Amino acid sequence: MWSYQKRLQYPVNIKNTNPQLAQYIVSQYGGPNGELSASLRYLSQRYSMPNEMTKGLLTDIGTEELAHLEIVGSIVRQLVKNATTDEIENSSYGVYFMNHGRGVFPADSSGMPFDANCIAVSGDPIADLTEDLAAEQKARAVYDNILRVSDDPDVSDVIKFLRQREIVHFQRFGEALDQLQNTPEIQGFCPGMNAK
Amino acid sequence: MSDRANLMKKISAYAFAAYDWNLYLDTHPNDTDAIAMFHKMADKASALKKEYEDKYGPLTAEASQDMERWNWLDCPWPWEKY
Repeated sequence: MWSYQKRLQYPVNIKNTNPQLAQYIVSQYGGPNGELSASLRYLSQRYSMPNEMTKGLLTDIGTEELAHLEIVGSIVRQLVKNATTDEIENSSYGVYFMNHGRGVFPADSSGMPFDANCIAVSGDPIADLTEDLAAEQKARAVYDNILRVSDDPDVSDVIKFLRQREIVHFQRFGEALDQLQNTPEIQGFCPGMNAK
Repeated sequence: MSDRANLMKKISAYAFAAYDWNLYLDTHPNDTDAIAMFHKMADKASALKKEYEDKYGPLTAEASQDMERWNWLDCPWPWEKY
């Protein structure tokens, strides 16, 4: 089960409003390569993982992604909390504002609500871990895009932290996949992988 | 930076370091040096959290100590600026 700590994994203190930037960043809240997608994917995949290493890693990284979800939500909220309706109207955030005000709703940057179709749980540990490697790179790529359009150093600072975590997760999943593929018992578990 | 923000920053740093060792150990469970580092970081984080909680209130609901008022509810919440 989960325990909640009343702190962010990384501080978020945004001085300036920027609804346009919020519109882009909300994609990492409810978009296909965002933190909700990541946490749901890993926390769901862990049930069908074959050994303690994979069960532990997916639980731990899935939990960290929930902490990142909270960070992204905080960024979005701080960017719009004190924004004037003028600012909001003059950005693409205006369309999101109609149904969500200055609230944080899980959607991608085009307004498509979160859809679990963006995650896969195949029940096959090799397929699932391979999906996880791709997921981390996609998330990293989106953070790269956000850094390209952000001119706010308070925002960019947090985004760089989140981006770096995706790279570390990629490294850990790679180790897990590598170890799994070299585990004789697992080769029997995954028919087709070096099956005799 | 206020004392509160400063203390929180240190907690974040040590807790994060411990957590990163946690992830590393998930794929390297027999690395005793890493286990030692994990504990070093985690112990420091725990001590700082206790100091923070004594001054500013609980970081988890279970850690609430105030018998007159349920101070778990106190603002600021993490998504608000300090």
